[in-house]
Amino acid sequence: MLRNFSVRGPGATTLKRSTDAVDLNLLGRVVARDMRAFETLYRIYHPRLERFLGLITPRRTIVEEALNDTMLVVWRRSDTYTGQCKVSTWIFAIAYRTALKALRTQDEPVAAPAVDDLVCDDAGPEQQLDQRQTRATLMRALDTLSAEQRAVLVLTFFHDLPYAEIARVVDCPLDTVKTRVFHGRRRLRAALHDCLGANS
Amino acid sequence: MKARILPLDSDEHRRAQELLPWWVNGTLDDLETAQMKEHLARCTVCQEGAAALEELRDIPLVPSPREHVDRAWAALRRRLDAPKNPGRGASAWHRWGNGLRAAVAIQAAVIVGLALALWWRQPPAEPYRALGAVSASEANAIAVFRADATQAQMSAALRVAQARIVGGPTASDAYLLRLPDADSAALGRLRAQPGVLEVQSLQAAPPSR
Repeated sequence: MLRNFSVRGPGATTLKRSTDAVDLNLLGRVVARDMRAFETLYRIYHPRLERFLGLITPRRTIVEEALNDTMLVVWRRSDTYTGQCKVSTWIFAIAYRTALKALRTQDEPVAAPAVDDLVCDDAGPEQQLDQRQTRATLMRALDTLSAEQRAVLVLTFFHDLPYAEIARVVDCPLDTVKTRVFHGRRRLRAALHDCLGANS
Repeated sequence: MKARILPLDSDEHRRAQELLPWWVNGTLDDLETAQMKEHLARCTVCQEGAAALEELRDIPLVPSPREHVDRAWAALRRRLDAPKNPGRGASAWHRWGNGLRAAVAIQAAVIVGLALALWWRQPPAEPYRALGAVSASEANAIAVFRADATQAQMSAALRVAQARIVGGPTASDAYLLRLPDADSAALGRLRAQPGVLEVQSLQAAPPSR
């Protein structure tokens, strides 16, 4: 499972610092219009943004569009990064605003999430089926929450962000983040319970 | 120690419930971590809550295959290469009167002149430097291994490319590598190894656009 690779344990701070340094280095080169650096930054952030946007927006088409819109802003506005927060926080904040804007402009009924697109091809048939079911359940449960609640939950549980950083991404006070997560996870738990009950 | 359930309206319990998600993702500061440890040792409600959140975090989220990322990148490149708002400027231009057109043309010429003068006087831009980027500055490539890659496959891939890991895994599961020469041939050899999902150079390319 990919999550097993995530940074944990005593060395985590050092490794995160080196990640931040790589991000800063790449963004600095993007400011200097280095397209190869931008491609590297894009490929590093694609899975993270896909995971974030895929869980806060219900449609595959919105995810793809919002992801590239986000990275387009990164390319065009890279010189506006002030260094007051981490590069990842800056990029996630752009993605969050882009996703909210995309969701607001979508007035059509929400289609079922594109679960198949995000299932690992390398898994065996049984494992793939299991992954699809689990993910579909999670998506249905997340769908019962507001986009703002979904965003803070996803950043907490699937991106391991501290609450102070989440507050910067969604541009709201620390206490609001804590309250959104507190109520959001209660609702998510109830919705997961309902979905699992309906499946069985 | 015998566990006991604290009343739900207790301030300490409420605060612990609020911080539980970040206890689980390991991002609390030292003081908060110590407080949570102490509380969790005697509160079964929070212990169960933490276990439930761990389960939620364990739901596998698998990234798209490389071909999908390639397609998405190609689509973004097309947008970057396309001219901005073709046609819109022209139609707006035609709606303007002749006098306004001349005024805007003069203004534009002045702006271009000033910009050129400023550009001429500016010293060349200093390269962007990251503070504390000691280990990262050693890296000249990034590699992502497949989720099912074995230790032996990773070691073999690194041996073939004469690469060593100098950092990572990053939040995107990428490892920072140091290769004797991170040219396209060396990166291609590494990319072709079983267990390797993605390889990218970290060396600067000539600026474009």
